[in-house]
Amino acid sequence: MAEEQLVTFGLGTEEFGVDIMRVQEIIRIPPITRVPKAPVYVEGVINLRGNVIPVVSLRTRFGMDKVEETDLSRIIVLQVQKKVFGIRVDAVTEVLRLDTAAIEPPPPVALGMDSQFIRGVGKIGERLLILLDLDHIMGGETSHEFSA
Amino acid sequence: MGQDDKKNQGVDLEEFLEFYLLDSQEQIDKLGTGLLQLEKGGSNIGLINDLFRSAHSLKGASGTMGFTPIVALTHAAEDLLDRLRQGKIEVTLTMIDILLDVTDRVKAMLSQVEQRQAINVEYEDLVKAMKDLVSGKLPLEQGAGSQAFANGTEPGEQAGGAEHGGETEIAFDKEDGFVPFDFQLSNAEWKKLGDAQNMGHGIYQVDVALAPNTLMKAVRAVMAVQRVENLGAVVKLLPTVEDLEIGNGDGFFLLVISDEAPEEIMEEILGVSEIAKVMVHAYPATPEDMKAQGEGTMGGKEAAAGAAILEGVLARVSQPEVNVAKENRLVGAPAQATSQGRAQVGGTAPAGNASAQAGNDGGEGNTQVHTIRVDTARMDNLINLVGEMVITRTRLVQVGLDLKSAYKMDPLVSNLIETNVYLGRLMNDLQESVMRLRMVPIGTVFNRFPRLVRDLARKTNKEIDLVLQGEDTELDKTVVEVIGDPLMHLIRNSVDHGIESPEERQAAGKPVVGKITLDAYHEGNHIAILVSDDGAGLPLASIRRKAIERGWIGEREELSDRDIANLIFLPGLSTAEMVTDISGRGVGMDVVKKALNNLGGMIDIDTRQGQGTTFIIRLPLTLAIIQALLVEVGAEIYAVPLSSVLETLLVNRTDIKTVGGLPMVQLRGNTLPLISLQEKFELPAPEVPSEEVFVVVVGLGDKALGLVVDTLRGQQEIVIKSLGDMLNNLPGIAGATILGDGKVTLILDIGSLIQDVLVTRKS
Repeated sequence: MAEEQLVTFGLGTEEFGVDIMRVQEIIRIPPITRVPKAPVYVEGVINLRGNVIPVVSLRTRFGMDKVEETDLSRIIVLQVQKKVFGIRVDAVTEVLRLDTAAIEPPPPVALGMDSQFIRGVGKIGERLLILLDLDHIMGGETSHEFSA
Repeated sequence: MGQDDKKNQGVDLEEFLEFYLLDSQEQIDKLGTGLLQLEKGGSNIGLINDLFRSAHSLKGASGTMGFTPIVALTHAAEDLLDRLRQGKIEVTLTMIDILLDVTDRVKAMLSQVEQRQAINVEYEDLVKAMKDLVSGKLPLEQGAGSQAFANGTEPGEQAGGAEHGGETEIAFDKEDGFVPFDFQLSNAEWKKLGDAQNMGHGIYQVDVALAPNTLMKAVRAVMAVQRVENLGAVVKLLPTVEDLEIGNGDGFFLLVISDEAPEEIMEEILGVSEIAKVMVHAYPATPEDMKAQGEGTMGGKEAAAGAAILEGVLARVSQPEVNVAKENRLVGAPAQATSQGRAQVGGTAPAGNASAQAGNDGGEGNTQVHTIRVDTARMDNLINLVGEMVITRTRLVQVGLDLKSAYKMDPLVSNLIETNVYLGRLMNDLQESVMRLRMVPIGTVFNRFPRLVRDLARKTNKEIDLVLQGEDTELDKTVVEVIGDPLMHLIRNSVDHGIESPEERQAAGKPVVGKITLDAYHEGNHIAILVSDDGAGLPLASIRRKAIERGWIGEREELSDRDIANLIFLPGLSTAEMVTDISGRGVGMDVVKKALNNLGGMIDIDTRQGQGTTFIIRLPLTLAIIQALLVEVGAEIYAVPLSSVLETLLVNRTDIKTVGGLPMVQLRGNTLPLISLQEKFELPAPEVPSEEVFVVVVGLGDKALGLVVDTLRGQQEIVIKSLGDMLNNLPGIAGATILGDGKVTLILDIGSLIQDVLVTRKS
């Protein structure tokens, strides 16, 4: 039975998952430099061991309210199509395996956010895990801008 | 045939292509430089040998890859050089011309190979020209250099001539050292040999030694077998192709039945590239004969030591009796084959000769640089990591100081601090060494100019000496890559317009031979490159006239010589009377200046009537590191490239006027448009605006702009980093850098900011 290994994280009340193979590392929030004129969801750039990489605020990307940084806040550094960038999340929860059979296509009207970022929904018992489509998180600019 | 070859060999050549291209380009550069030396310095046997070797290894490598046109050219060149080194013909100007032409054609071919195109560069004419040169003087001794070797016409420098004497001996009982190789023949095969002998055919054992580091041994063996089969039948090949394919052995043995003379067989096999040596011996036709011979020669061990065949081959021979003899006979050989290192062993040169040459290489201390090639991305990564370590260490220092204030008396703390200091020294050294990795000597750029000057001088019928100085001056790889074209332009210009014709020079009482000097040296954080000629100097009067005609300067305007000279950098000054085939190709000095400006460099002219002109180029040592002015706007810090900063002003807010909705300030009688970075970058406005603000005046070309900032933080060297694909092309931002505290700071793109203001103004 095919299965996927996922890194899961929390954002507000939802739980999300990303393919572990795309995750380069998970870091605490370093100083972030704002980049003027960048897309709104780009929170800024950080110094990752001498490399400058952009950080996307997933809250902004998904039209959620901003929250204060907490002790649990993290940046998940991802590598997608050779591009390295970080996504800022409220907390990283766990690493788990999920049967591909337990993954359903995204509902047409997805959980209050644009379905273009969603690859599917995973079910683990009662838990619902939103699987992110990383190719669209950064770039692939579309007209859907959500206001908070 | 190239394609067919590849198929036949059943080997994927693609993976070797990069290696081949790098190596070939190196060889062709060596050839080019060497030829120019030859032209200047007459025939020096060491130099000619070097040239021969370069041509030879090019031929060998190209043959392996199946690039027939390159093989044809380099083969003919090799023949020519061979004649030359034998002293049979003299160096002539025509010969150098032809050989230089060969290097050009091969370069063109290589670039086609690089682009994975079919080679369609013309070459037969050159091959013919070279053949004519070879045969013209020596009509009786036509043909390839390999024949010359086989016939023993190699000059005395060839080592071990005596040992070769027995190589082609046919009757084995006369050869002390030869022990028939045990091919482990089946009865059927023995029968075949016996039959062949009865029918009067010759049976030969052919020992083939491959050049060291031969890449595709199996391919060589297959090619040799194919060639020999033109002359007879190959009964057996050992080691097998499969064994050779996995890289075993540095040679192979063939058992051949043929009516041809041993010399013919040898000749045929030597046609395959990367074959270092071939020996042909008569082979016993029956097992009994073989045994007799094997035992008979157990004593005479060393005589055949010339065979450069390694133990790797021998390990595969299982019959102990003959094995002993074999190993003995080869005792002297392995060292020879392995000691040659990178020296290319001539496919046509007997191994003895090759090793003698290899010895020379070491002795003369040839300009071989010991280098490895490393991907720049890996190097940049290393540099990044070291930078990060430096930052981490400063944090460590801070921790140490904090501990000290908390636990003053604890000796452990002073221990930590001491260690920190030592670590700091190491880090500095490490950082310096790492930065040096990117530095390359400017000689790599200079070296292509002697050829250029030579060709141009001959075209213009001038006599010019090019003097290179400061070739060891190092600068960043990024700069070296782009500096070539502007320099070439300046040199063309010097040859064409600077240096006078020999007659003019004579009339002016100058040496007939003109001189162009290329010099480079470090000047602080910059490198200065000088291109000077001892020619006539710039025609200042006519430049001035042209400038007046174009309305750039007033009729009565007083200008210094230097100012007038600098007018040539304005676009459109190149006039019909200055245009020639060489330098007037629609790209003028303005292009040179622009190219240099793009590199953050400057160019200046020093010209003296009748004495010559010097162009002085100043470039930053690296393009990756620039000087920047750090400015603060609100809570944010930005870096302004210092090369575009003209001055900084402290301006009272009341002096800022608004003209057409845009802020301006008066600066020495001119209005200077202003941009507030705080507004531009959408920063929150300060609650209490300060009375005075700083204005950084930046300029690009003749356009200037004032950036309104809160504070100046001073000047600093910064390393430019890209923001990556995702944040490319943001207006006003050129890139990012990491400051000493590890924070990312954005670098302003002055060009786009100025552009912005111009557009706003118009609309």
